[in-house]
Amino acid sequence: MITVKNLNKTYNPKKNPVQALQNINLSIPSKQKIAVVGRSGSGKSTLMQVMSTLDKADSGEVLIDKTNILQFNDKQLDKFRAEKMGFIFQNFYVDDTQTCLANISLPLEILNMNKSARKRLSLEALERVGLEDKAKSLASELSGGQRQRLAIARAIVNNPKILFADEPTGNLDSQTGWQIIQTLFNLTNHLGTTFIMVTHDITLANMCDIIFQMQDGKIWQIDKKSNTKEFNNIIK
Amino acid sequence: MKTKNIRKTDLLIRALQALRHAKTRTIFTALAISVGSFTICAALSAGLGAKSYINNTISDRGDPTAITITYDFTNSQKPKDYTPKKYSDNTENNNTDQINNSKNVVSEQNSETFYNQSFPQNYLTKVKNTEGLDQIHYGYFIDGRYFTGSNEQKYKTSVNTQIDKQAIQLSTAIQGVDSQYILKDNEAFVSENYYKQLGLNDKKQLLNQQINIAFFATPEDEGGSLIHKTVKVVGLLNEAGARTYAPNTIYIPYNMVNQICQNGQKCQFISLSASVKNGYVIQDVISKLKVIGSDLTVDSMQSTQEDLMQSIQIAEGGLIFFGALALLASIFGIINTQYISVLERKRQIGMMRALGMHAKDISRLFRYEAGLIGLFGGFIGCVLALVLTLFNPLLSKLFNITKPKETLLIFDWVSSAGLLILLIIIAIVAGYFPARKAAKLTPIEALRG
Ligand SMILES: Nc1ncnc2c1ncn2[C@@H]1O[C@H](COP(=O)(O)OP(=O)(O)OP(=O)(O)O)[C@@H](O)[C@H]1O
Ligand SMILES: [Mg+2]
Repeated sequence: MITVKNLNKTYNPKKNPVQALQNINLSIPSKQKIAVVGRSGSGKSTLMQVMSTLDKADSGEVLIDKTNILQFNDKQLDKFRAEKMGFIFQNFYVDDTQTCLANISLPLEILNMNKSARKRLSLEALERVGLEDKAKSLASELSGGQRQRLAIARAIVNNPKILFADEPTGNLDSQTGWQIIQTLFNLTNHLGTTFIMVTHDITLANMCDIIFQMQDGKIWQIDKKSNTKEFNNIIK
Repeated sequence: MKTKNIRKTDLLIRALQALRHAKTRTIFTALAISVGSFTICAALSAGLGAKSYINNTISDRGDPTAITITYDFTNSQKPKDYTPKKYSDNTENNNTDQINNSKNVVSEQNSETFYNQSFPQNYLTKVKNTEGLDQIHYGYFIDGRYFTGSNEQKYKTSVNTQIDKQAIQLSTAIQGVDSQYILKDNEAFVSENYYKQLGLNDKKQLLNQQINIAFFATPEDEGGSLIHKTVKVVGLLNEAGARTYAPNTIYIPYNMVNQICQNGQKCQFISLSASVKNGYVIQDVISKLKVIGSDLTVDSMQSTQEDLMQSIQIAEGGLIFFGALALLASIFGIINTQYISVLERKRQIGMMRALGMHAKDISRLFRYEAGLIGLFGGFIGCVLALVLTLFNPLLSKLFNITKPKETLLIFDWVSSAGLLILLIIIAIVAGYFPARKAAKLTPIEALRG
């Protein structure tokens, strides 16, 4: 269970303040799939970053299993991210200089895991995203879709409790994106991961259990939409 | 909450991979470092080689307690009259078929100056009475004239005495006997060049030949007469030695001259050689001798060795200083390349932080990279210095070192290893600044690039 209470975040508070998050309150039950939708600049990415501790909030609480992770010190945050969280970004952020295996192995290295366990889990993760034959290839040799698969494998290799995905298909064509989403949904179902995703796609949003809409740094829950026109009003 | 850090080996591998990815930059930064480390390693090699060469040569020369006492006549008794004396047209000289060797002029150039000076009698008495001194020998000045070759031809030569206990300087270049050999009555070492003049076909045939020589022990104008002796060749002074020390010369036993000179009474000399008795401290004896007169120079094997060692150390130190300067310059190269690396890899750093890597480990990664660059650079330099020692045979030839075991460059493994470790530490310290920059980035700042 994730509970967010009175979360606030203002960029450039002194010069040119942008209130990206305004008193955000929400609740996310475990193992659910969450879609966050809204217009560009509404604060979706900011929310993801603050909830996942990549960025600091100005005030408020993020309770995960009743622990407020915002009061952790840096080292505790690092550990929490390493053990409990996974991240997928629109532009993949895979390390082009490394092989696929080395990319996936990094979170496990950070967890101080030994080499053989690392290799086993990494290969398993590669298999889950259908890249088992690319283990030894450099990440730079992969296509866009394959890179995002690699990023997914890296995000789930530590078996996280929560997986954050900020427009995971944003840089992919619709067919490839669709395959990626299927992979993600299958994996999170299988692993029982809480999945929080920012999307601009009605079909994807409708596949999730809960949909949140954001506007001007505020958030509220909405019903699933049956027609695209209605949805487009929300996101564009 | 207890936190675990990434393993050092994993971090090291990641550091290596990052350097490999930035190959060109790494190599050039390392090359800059290698200039300094090469200079230092080469200086160390040369220093070690030179020191060992001096130690071996001096211990070869025999008695380490040997002392030379020289009367510095230029200091106290400057000649009043600088006008050149008349050259007495000596028939002996004119008849001689001269061996054309430009270096064989010592006797003529210096004879006049030497002849007019002698070791003061009162000094001699004091030296003889100095406690702890043993085996005092007179450094007679011999005016060598000629040796008689085949067909009764006379050939010009210089003549030296071999002083007992102190194997002659040419120890590296005597053939026929071992280098410590002391000449017995009527024996001699002879320049190997003399075989032709003696009507021989081969240098080797010189050994055991009887040669007639002629020299003045007391200058002619002081009433001395030409002395004729017949000596047997027991050792050859070869090219290398002869070129370095005494070209075309003949060494005769000390006693042969000492008898003629009647223990210093008949001939002139400006130096004495002696050795220090067992149970006496060399430095103490030297101090006592120095008190006798400020115009006495006292040299010992030991002090000569120390002087030489000191000058080597100064030269070595100078080289090391410049090497260190080069290293200092290259440190900025490390800092620079690592700053660039941090900027280039911001996103990678962000991703690592997002995945939970501690800021401290990020910093450590970049310091490892810096340390590795230092190690590579140092290693390249040391390997080049090691390669330089392959040129030892060439250098030995250049400097006339004929002993096969003597090399001018001796690679200093211990100091070089020390240098490498020092370099790694310096590089890590240099890498601290860019590493701190990398560690300071928050995950999201880094991810934004
Ligand atoms: N680093 C930043 N510095 C200053 N302002 C920022 C920063 N990041 C975001 N903002 C501002 O905060 C607001 C929310 O931005 P955010 O990136 O969360 O929007 P978003 O909903 O993710 O938009 P999009 O759909 O385009 O990704 C925007 O007005 C944006 O300009
Ligand atoms: Mg966004």
